[in-house]
Amino acid sequence: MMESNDRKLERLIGRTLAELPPRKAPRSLQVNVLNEIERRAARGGFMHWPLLGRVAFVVLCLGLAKLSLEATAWSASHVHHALHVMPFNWIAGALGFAGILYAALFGLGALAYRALSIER
Amino acid sequence: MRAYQDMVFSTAARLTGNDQQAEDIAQQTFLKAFESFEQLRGSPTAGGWLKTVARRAAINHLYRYRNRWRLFSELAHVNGGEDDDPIEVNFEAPDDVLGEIDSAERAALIERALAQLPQHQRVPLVLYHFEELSYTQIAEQLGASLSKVKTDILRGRLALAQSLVLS
Repeated sequence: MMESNDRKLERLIGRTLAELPPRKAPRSLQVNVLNEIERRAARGGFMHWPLLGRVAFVVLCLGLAKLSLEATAWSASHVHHALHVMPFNWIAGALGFAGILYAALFGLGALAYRALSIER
Repeated sequence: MRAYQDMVFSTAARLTGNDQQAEDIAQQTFLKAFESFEQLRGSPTAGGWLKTVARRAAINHLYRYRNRWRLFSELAHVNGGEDDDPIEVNFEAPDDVLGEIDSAERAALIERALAQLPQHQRVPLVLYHFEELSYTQIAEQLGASLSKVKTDILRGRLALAQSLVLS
C-alpha cells in the first residue's frame, strides 16, 4: 500500500511538472548579456592598445626591470658585508622576530577570514 | 541566444526559486557560451552544453554556503535522525491536481508552489524531474548521501502535491 502511494505520487508529480512550459526569460537578460559583451570588447586587452601606448609600456617595464636588478645587486653586496660585521645573535634574533611577526599576521589573517567570511 | 534563453532561464529559476538570481546565472551562462562561441557555433549539442553550464552554475551558487547547510542538516540528524527515517506516505495522491484551471494559471500555481519548497527539497526534485538525473547522479552533484536525496525528493513531492491540492 505504502509502495503504491509512493509510485502514484511520483507519477502525479512527474506528470504535473512535465506539462509545464519553459519559464519566459526576462527581456533584460538579452540586453544585459549584449551590454556586458560590448563592455568587455571595449575594455580590450594589451593587443588592443594604441601602438605608441604599447611601446611606451614595454620601455617602462624594461626600465623598471633594470632598476630592480641594480637595486638587488646593490643590496646583496651590502647585506653580504653586514652579515660579516654583525654578531650572529643579532642575525638569529632578527630572523626569529620576523618569523614571529609572520606567524602572528598569518594567525590574525586566518582569524579575520574565519570571523568575517565563513561564519557570516 | 534567443533560441535558448527561456530554457537556460527556466533551469536556473527552478533550481534557485529566485528570478533575480536566475537572471544573473543565465547571464553568466551566456557569457561563458560567448567565450566558447567558436566551438558552439552550429553544434547540435549547444543546447545541452548551455543547460549543463546553467545547472552547474545554479548549484554552485546555491551551495556556496554548503558548510552552513551541512551543519544544519547534521543538527537535524542528531536531534531526531529524521533524514534517514523511512517516510510513510499517508497522502492518497489524486489522479490530477488543480482540476479544470486555465493552463496559464495552472502553470503559475505550480511554479509558485515549486519555488516555495525549501531548497533542500526543491533542488533534488528539480534535478530529478526536470533535468532527468538519477538519484545517484543527484547525490554526487549535491555531495549528499543517496538516502538523503531519496528522502528529500519524496518529502518535496509530498509537500508539492499537498500545496497544489490545497490551491
